[in-house]
Amino acid sequence: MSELASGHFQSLPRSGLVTALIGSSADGVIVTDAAQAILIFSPACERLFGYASRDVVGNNISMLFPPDRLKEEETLVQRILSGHNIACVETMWRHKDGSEIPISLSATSVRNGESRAAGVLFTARDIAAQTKEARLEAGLAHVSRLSAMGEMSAAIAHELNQPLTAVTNYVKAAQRFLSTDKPSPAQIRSARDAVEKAADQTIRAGTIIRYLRDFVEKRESEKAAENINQAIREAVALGLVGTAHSNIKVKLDLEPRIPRLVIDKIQIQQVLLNLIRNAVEAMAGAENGEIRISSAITGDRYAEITIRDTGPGFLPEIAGKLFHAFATTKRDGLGIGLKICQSIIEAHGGSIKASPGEPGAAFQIRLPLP
Amino acid sequence: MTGYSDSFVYVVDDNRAVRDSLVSLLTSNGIAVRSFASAKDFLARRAHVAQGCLILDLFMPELSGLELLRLLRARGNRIPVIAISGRSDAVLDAALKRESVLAILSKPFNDAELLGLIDDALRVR
Repeated sequence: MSELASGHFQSLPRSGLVTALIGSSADGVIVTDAAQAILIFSPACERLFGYASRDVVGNNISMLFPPDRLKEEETLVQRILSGHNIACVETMWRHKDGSEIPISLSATSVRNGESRAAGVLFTARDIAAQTKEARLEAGLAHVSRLSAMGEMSAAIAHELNQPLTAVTNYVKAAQRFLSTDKPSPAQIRSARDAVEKAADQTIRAGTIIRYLRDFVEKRESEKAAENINQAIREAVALGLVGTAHSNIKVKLDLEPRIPRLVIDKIQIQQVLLNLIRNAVEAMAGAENGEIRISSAITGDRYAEITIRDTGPGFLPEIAGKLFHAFATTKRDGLGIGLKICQSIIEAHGGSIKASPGEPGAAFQIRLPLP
Repeated sequence: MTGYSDSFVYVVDDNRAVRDSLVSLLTSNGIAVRSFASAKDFLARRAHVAQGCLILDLFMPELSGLELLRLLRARGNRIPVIAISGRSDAVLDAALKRESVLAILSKPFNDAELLGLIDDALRVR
């Protein structure tokens, strides 16, 4: 503005410059006089509010205020006219069709050297997309919170069972070896005592895990007949939150003839989300990332969901290890995500498999048809 | 529990500690053991064996325990199978019973129960 005032742009026609500035703005621009009559209504405003410029110019700006908040908005305009500028205030104004649209509003008084403003310049930014994204993000957090506990428990129970089994076997073997090796009676007593205590501890721990597993399995009651393609579409919408400005494309190739699957929809979406977010993260910063998600019916009566990305992928030799707990290629990752995915899919009688794509990574989920 | 010198117990489990501890447990009881880290590995090297007993973990990446079992049965292999699993699943249990498994043990299991089952499997031929 100081550049303009200092005269560097004096060679440009003032009216042409104003028209170009207003016309090129992605935000809606409205200029009113001191009596609140609309003087300028920019093309972006026409798109935002649904009115043509010729329909609103000359009218009071209050036509854009929702009837129930007329008073608040009028007060706001008066404050601006008396010299209080506002920046990025979130409010709702009214579309031509009567619906309310969320906008981020900034306003500056237009001065004429006098104390009272000659008019007001409003800029209105459409934030409908942003608020939708915030809602999706809240949904994502909710889904995560809801199922994280159960999945963690199942995964941890499964993982703890393995070493427990091993410890039990080892101590029982040690006991057996000792009893046939003719050591001294005192050694035999001590050794037996020690391994028996160890075995008791593992069995005790196993009992706790069994309870934990029973607790987790109570969630099976939440299984219902669900449209898997719909579950995929919703998971994609959630999984792409925050990627609107990246170059990632998603292609869906869904088989409409898949019958409804008896699944815990939230859990399955948790798996899909996990894989989609992995793919998105893997392709962060890439020029042209692509995620392809397909569903199909296999000959042996499974629904098969494949998620492919064009990220850096992984080496073929670690494909089998990806599902081990705490295996990760991410610097900040715990490596529990894929373990949980596997746990959920297996609890549905299905299987999950990773294979190197060409390029990128491919994950294949199989769920039994009813 | 001796006298099965011509019969092996085959252990297929992707978890190294479980696999190795089973080898120890069975060896300490005088049983000859061969272990495999994956269903594919077993299939490649021992698909034809019909004698002895197979201790089969159910949850393995790539080829699962149930898939291996189905492949063996489809080839007419009737080897006695003891399934071991980290979690219980009624649907999976039913599928396993259709492939005539000797028993399904959930981890961690009782060694006496396992040894008793192996004894039965190696006795009945």
